[in-house]
Amino acid sequence: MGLKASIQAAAKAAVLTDAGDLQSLVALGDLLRQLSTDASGEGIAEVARTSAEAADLSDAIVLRQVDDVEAAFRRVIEAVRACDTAIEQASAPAREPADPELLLAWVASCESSLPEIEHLAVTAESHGLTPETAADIRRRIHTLKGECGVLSLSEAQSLCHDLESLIDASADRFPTEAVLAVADWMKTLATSLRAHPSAAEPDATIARSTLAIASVGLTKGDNGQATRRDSQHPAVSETASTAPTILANSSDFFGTPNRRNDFGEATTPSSSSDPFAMFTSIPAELRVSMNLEGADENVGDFALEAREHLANAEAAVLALESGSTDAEQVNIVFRAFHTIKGVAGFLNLSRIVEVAHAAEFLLDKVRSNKLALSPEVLELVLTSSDMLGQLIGMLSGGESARERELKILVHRLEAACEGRFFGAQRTESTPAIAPISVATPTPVSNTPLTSATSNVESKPTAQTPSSIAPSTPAESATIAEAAATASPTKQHAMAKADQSVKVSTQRMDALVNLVGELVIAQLMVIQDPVVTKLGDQRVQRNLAHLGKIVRDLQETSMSLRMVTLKSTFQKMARLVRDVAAKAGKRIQLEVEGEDVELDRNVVEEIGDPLVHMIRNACDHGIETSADRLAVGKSEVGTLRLRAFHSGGSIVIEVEDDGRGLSRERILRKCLEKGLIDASRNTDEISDLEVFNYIFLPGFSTAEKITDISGRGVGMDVVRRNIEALRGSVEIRSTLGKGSVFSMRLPLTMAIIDGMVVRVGNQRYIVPTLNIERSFRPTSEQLTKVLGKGEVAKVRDALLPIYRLQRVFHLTEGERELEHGLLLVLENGKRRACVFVDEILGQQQVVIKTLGDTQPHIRGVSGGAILGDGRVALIVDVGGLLETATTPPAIAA
Amino acid sequence: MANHERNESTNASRATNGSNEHKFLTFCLGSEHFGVEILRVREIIGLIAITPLPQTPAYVKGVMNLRGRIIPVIDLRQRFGLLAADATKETCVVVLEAANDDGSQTVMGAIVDSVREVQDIPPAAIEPPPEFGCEIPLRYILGMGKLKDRVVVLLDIAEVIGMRERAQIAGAIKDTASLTQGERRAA
Repeated sequence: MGLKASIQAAAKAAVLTDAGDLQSLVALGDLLRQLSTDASGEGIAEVARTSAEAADLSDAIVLRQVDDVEAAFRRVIEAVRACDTAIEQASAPAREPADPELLLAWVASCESSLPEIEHLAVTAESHGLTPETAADIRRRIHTLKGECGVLSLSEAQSLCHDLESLIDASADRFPTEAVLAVADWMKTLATSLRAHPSAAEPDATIARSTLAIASVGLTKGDNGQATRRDSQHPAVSETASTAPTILANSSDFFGTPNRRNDFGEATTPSSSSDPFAMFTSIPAELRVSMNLEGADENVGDFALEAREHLANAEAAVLALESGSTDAEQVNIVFRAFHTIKGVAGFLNLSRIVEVAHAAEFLLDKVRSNKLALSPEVLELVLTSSDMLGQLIGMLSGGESARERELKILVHRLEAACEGRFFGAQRTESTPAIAPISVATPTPVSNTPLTSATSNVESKPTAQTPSSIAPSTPAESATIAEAAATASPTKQHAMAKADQSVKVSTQRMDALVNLVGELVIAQLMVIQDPVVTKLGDQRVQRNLAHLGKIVRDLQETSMSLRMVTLKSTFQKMARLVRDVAAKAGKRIQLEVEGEDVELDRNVVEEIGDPLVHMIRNACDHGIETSADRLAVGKSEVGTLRLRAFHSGGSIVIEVEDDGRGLSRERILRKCLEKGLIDASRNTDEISDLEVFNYIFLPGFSTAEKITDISGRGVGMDVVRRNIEALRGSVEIRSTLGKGSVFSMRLPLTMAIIDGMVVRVGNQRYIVPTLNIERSFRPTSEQLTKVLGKGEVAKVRDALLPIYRLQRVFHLTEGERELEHGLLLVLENGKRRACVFVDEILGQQQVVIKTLGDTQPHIRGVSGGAILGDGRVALIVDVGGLLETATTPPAIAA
Repeated sequence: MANHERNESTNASRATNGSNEHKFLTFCLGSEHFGVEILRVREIIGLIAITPLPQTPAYVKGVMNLRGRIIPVIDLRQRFGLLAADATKETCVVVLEAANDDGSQTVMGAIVDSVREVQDIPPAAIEPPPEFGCEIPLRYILGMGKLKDRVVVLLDIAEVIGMRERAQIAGAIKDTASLTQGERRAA
């Protein structure tokens, strides 16, 4: 077996092996020995040594010669990974252009994982750093490092490595700045690689200096560790004590063709005798990352699957509670907990493992008839399931479970086992049983899963019976039984149900477009005069059926485009932190509703406006700590970012508890600039209207913004961007208490309900949402102001009339108001009548851009293809009313 | 190394397209003959219903439905300042595409009086445009193609329908799209 093949075999085995699965451990040990032989044959001494030691260790686990099985096993896995990296590096000495596909996959995963790292770092800084978060960040960076190594991105790898060392070394002060700096640099790298796969890595001076500064700060506070490291390895001592040198040295050091140095350094920083010693300082936190998929995705998939397992388990428990004695039900519950435990272990979600393990253990007792299935047991199982649900919810930002409750639960679970079986021991620590179990020929084999893991997309689920990795010998036997009794196809189906597929956005957009075409084509058929004249019932019924399928298809394809606001909101967390730090303020960000889903295009487009609003809120809205204390507010300002559904649209709000908008100041400015007629009684102008003035272009640039509490820089751009998405923006504010900027956005940009109206021989589509009512005016309702402006009296309100014909410069069409129809349109608080010839009907239309040369035409938001294949323009009510109502001074 | 590969691949694609390289579609506007590179022509369709766009220059006739995609249509006669003519049986829309600097593609319909034929015009038969005597701005012209019996004005489609054209259409409207983009970038 060649070196490559043996490391691959070892790596695969390492992933699939569970610490309790003794047989697999023996196999792993053999593979490691083989690897060691191969490595020494190739002259890679470091790998030979490490793998030999790992092999010994794995044997030691099998023979129960180690105290902490889990920790030892993690060391084995870490060693395998280290060997893998080392061999990879040894065999790829120079920066070879990596496989472009692999590279792009990495770039994509990077683009999703970097914001997550940032988010974690920022959260850690604002909410206090938990050891879990620190370890999580470290792990992610570690993964990145490994991936960069594979892709021969030496600079990136060395940066990640330095950062990793820095995090390890700074136990009390987490180097947020350094993490962010490296993340920024990696983003630049990802961007440039996306553009040119062979692009050189960008200059890393800034990131390096930040790292250096952070490590200098560290040296002051952490001399003990620095000294300890000094004696171990020169490169590490540079990291810790003479940080600036690392600027010059590290890149040479890590850029050397033979990466074994790097590897050796990585494994022996804290102790020379034991290559695994460094890992004992970070127990339970190491993960194996054998593929290039983003870690977050795994966690997300895990959460999704785990929820389903829990649901299955709960259903089974309820069945048992209602008197079912089916042993299979117990098995279902057991398997659910077991699978969750396994995957959580893989992802190093230690709390989940803890609970799942305890519950699984209890259930195992029940299964093996050592414990009666009493109501108390079922109650405990349900409680565990709830606790797991809560813990899993934490993964997606849910409410955090209480540590105390968790401990009590685990204690209760353990007590339930041991309370009834005084002689029962934790079998893991019973060496006597181990060899017997190893000798038992169990049907547990890795073959099916091995083939699955070779697929990058496959998730580390352990659902097929053969893949259930037993953690105790006793279990391994019972599982074998379970595997024999359970129907394999059924379980396979279960595994399939949760799977998701990555699809390129191009293909998805193409699909959505095609469905749009289908809708149009279908309408064309249904509305075809020949078809409508047929009057055949069967044809009509078939057409109706077709229509239903098309609508369903459309809905389904639309749902493909929906994404959560999570990543957008995470970026905002970073922004708030940066702006606050720059402005010397203390701001706490509260985020709500990041799971709300929106059309991908909308999510992409709201980033800029959101950044603007948040920057404004941090910069001008929230006061400095001193000012806040002076007015009796808490020292820390609060910024709330919220998203929620409201009447068919999504509302995103940015709320601050800052100083609020000053109505008087805005009014004064409006008067100065002639935006408001001086003769108007300002008391009668609503707050809404007053605040809306800050959205006018050029409103705020005239005077120093801070004088009117600062809203308005580029707010016209914000509004324009949001309106381009067919959304609206609104401000509520109380002076001294804070402001809320509220954006209302459509769920999807692709389809609207529209009223088809006719003017002359042109047809237009008016969004139904904007139409309040329509009526044929009588001459009593119509008045002219100064012989020019036409107004209509609509239920006591006088509304201006706009003739669509004039707005769109048409020569034909009805001229007599009494002969046509008036549509009362509203957008926000603006209302007006629009004059059209007639209403032709209502239909759903697919919004299309007017070709890519489309300039922004006031009053037109796009086009739609009607049933006869002709294009009708979609009226942009907001733009239309604005064009019509904006005073000329500003419109110019 | 990667660059090298890329060059090779473009060479290869050029070689396969070599046969179309010097082919031009010729069409008429009034009595003048024009030509566009055949590689820039997506298709030729008859004159179908065009929906007028408000607030655009007169030569932008509006938008039409090209198999589910909405594309703008310009009248080349009006574009080049020739006298407008009534549509005849021969009037048709040449759908042109041009790559923009940012990698996107602009697709636009151009109304012409009639389409003639596809001509092979080798580079040797193309001369630079004359300084005068042509009613069309020089930047739209690739060169003058010499055929046996006549001279054809070869149009630079990227110029006629490409980015600059877009800016011009936008510039004709008060609220320019380009300004919005610039501001967004600045923000």
